[in-house]
Amino acid sequence: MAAKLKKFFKKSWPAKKFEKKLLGKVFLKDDRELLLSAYEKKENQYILIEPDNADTVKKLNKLIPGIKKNSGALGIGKIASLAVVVISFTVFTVFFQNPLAEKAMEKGLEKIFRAESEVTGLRLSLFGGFIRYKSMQVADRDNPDRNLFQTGEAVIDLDMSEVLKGKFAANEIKLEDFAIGEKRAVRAKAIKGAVKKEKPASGAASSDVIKEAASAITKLPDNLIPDRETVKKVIIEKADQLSAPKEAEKIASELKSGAENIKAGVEKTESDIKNLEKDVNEIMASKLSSKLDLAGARKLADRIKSASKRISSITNTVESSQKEIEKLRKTAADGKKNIEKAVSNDIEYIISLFPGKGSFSVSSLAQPLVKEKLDPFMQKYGKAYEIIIKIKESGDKKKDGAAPAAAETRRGRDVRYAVYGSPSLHIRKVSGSFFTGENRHSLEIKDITNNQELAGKPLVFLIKSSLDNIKTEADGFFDTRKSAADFSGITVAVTGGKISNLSFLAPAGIDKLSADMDISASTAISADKDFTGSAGISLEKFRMNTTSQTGRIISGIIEKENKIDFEAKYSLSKGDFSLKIKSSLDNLIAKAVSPEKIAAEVKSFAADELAEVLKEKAGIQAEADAQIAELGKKIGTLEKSIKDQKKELDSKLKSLPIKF
Amino acid sequence: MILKWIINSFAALNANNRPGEIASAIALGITLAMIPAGNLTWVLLLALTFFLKINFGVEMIVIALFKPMASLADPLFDAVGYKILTAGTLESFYTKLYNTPLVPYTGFNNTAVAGSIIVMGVLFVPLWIACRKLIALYRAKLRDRFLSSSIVKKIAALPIVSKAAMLFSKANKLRNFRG
Repeated sequence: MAAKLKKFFKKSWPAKKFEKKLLGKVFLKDDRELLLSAYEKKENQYILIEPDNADTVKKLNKLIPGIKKNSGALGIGKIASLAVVVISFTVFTVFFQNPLAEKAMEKGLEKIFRAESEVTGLRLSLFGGFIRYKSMQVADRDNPDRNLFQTGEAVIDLDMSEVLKGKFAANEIKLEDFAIGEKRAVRAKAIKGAVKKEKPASGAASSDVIKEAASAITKLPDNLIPDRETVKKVIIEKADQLSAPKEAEKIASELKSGAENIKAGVEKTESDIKNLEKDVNEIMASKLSSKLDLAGARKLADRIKSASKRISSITNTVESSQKEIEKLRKTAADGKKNIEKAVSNDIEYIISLFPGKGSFSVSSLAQPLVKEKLDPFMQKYGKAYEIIIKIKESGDKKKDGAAPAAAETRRGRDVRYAVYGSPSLHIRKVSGSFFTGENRHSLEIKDITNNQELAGKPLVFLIKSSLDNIKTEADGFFDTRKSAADFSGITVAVTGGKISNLSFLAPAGIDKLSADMDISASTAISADKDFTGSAGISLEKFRMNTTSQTGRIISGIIEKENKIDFEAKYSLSKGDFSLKIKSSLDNLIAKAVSPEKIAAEVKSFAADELAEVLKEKAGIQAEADAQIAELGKKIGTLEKSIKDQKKELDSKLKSLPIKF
Repeated sequence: MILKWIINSFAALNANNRPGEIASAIALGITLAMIPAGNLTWVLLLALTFFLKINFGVEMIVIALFKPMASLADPLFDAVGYKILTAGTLESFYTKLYNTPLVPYTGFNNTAVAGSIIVMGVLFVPLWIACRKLIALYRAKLRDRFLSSSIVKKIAALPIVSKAAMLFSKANKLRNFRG
């Protein structure tokens, strides 16, 4: 079959169009001549002359792809392909990306953990640098009723405008409600290939370490100030050295024997007076037969004289008894004075056994912690803080504005320009929360950066926690802006922190401890990576229940104070950690344990305890006193009785007819 | 791949390809060879050539040929680039560019990159015109004699060349040769 010219070659072309669309696309001289030979120019038209030569037709047809290909400067096909790719990608992003990414994440988790995994609400934006999911749970393959771990909402939101400058910047990184071992709502399905693995033995629980550390710091010295029991014990032990009990015993003995002697005398006097009274009554009853009965009168007079003599004798005895009683009273009075003096001397002696400390340092309480815990800890893990130094140093190096690594070339020189205030690492907000049992702990940190000077902000943090019953609510900051180059002035502050119910302090004799606290600290790190610094801790609303005496004293002091300030100086040099604490508590406790205060406390206890010891002796003494008083009274009565009888006898004697 | 580019270039030069297409490939190839690679400018410029109707094979061959010569021009590029990048009046503009996302990856702050862009920017159009003229001249004056030369015929007849040409579906262009 003869070749036929393709329809591409129209029968007539306007001259301009022919020259542009056909002739203008043919660049080889022979091809141009071939094309021109197929057309005849008439006026402004090119008219096709059908070639009868098959070879010419074939050659003309072969020109068509070249003519088509030479039209336009842009590769329309390639651009269209790109457009198709872009549209496909957009469609994929809008309709399929998130569900597919969710599935892929679940599959990935299941492959890693060999257990059913669920991810919900995943949203991914590759160009926006954003990924978020609402929840994630991974079952425990050994226990399908529980989760290995689960989380609530998680967000990673990168700041792409900074990332595209070669920096790592994130607006937010968040992980909420992370929990381990929670019970699942629905039992997990088994995953193929899941093999049980023996769980490695876990190390010592962190709470044990805390307990040990707390125990070390809270070994409160118990001899700062004596209590009543201690004083009593000492009084019993030192009884031989005490003079008051001996003096009291001596006085009681003297009074007792004196009173008994007087009592015996008084009883004899009473008997004598009774006999005398009988005689006096008889005398008073006897009558003379007549006034002339002189013999009878003489006889009566003799009887009266005899009775009077006896009265004199009894009166002398009574007077003697009275003198004895006076003497005894004086002995009692002197005895009391002597006992008081002895008690006073004894108290002085007891006080001398309890000398006051006169000084106190909280630092001494912290030394066991430093020696037993902090030193080994810092030697083992102390260098961990150098990670922060390295991050910061990386920020300092880029501070002057180096070009991103990708732009580095071996040819030419890089001209450096100032970098607008944005550090190469800046995470504007990191937040998260996790559960330990029923307790939820949350942490929020703002502006994590390797160059706070460029960021123009310090790191700010907010912590809410109730780990091991330490309820902490603290917000603070970590500021290195003033020492961007050398770490010479790092400051940290925590305000509004709360601690309460430190149950792990129980072994140290502290049942409960709670306080609001503010902390501020500044640290300088040397070129050798050692550091020195000081911290101020201010505690308010302090409450402490303790079973130790010193603890009670401290508790009594601090609970009266509105605010207790601590100043700590710490340093790390060649792995040795040093901590020295000064506190307003030192002065308060020093006052509480001063010699004067101790003396007053001991005096009070000793006086009470001595009074208890002297009580028995004092009873005897009081008994003797009462006996003396009674005897005095009786003697007074006897004296009166004697006087009355003497008076009666005298009147009888006068009535006699004879004079003597 | 290189053989493919060579054949492609040879075919393009001698077939009914637009001289501007080959001239653009040569000019862009020289430009890409002169600009230091490993930065976003170079990658973007290369990517741009994918969407232009230019001869990729020619471009690649030109890049390969001129790349070793680029370092010879570096003193010129460095001087021009340094002058431009340190021009006081433009410093704030460069600082702004430097702080713009992605731009630092273009390596614009490198004297060789900036200098080569400026120099090649200035030279591009004259180069393109010259190439176009040379191609037209070649096709008018030399092409027939060149293609009919015994050397070319022998080379074209080599089994490896014809096999490669077949493989790359470019043999039809070779068949257009006359003589």
